[in-house]
Amino acid sequence: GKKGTPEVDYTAITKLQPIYNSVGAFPQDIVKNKMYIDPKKETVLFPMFGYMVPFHISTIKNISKSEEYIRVNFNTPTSYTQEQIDAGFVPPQLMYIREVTYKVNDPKVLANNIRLIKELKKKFTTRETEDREKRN
Amino acid sequence: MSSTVSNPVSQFNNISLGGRISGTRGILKFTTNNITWKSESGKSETVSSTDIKKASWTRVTPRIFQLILSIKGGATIKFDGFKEQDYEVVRKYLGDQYNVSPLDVVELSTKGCNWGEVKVNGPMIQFTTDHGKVGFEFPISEVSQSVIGANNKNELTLEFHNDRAMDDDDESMVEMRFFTPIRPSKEGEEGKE
Repeated sequence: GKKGTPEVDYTAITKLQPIYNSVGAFPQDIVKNKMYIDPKKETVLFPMFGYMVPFHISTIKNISKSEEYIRVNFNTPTSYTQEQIDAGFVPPQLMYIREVTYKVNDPKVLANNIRLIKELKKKFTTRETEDREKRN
Repeated sequence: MSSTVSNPVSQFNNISLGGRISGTRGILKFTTNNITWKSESGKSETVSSTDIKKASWTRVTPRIFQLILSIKGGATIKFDGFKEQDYEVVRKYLGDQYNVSPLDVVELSTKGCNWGEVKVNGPMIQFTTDHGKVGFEFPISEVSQSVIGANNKNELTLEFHNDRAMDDDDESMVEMRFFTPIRPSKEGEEGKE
């Protein structure tokens, strides 16, 4: 049930508010069934069954190409600690999306999507490192 | 305007079947007894007004709205491609002509994380992320194959049908892999799920 299900909150990113306030706040030029890279929000929106689903760039581990396919690997923890379970942070049905594969027919679009996502990932990692150094 | 309300027929152009990986566009007509959809490629769907159990309305992109019809017997049919201002027309038609009301507005999750709860809701598999809000969902019929990892029992791979009705420039998801992290087993609870 919805009640009693705790907000999953045990990694840094969960402390972020939802990236967009609502679907209405998605980039206006978004197109159904096509990936959209939003550098302002450091987010990639993936088409999933007619919906556009945002994923913060920090959830993406890497992205690769194989012929006409794009494969996206996401960050996932290997295991839970007993503390996380005891604290009620891990509802029984919690699952991670570990990987998604897309078929992209246009090689130019495919190459461009990969380039933009890699650039965003690099920019985000650089910024994270700088922030960490500033704090230390 | 994409719709007319002057007679008991209401018509919307550029509507596709929603909730699928892809969708060819067509014309959706609300008539006295039925909702019919016919695509340019000749595909069609008919929903009898008396079979509609529940209707809801979801924004799927800033500009596109979706009508979700729950059908008696458990099926769900979705139509994509409505505009914001169509809500009133559809709400009124469903209420006045079919006695189906209210037209609930359902918001999708915009959380941005890759973890959530996977739930089975009738024929739908739902991925919910933000206080039960759905991030995406798909009918189980879209799955062509599901495989539990041979070396990793905590991994589930779903392969999806390649829809031939796709537009050529659509980017289609062909595979998705779920993972559930390993839970430490307490001593004395071996083998207990």
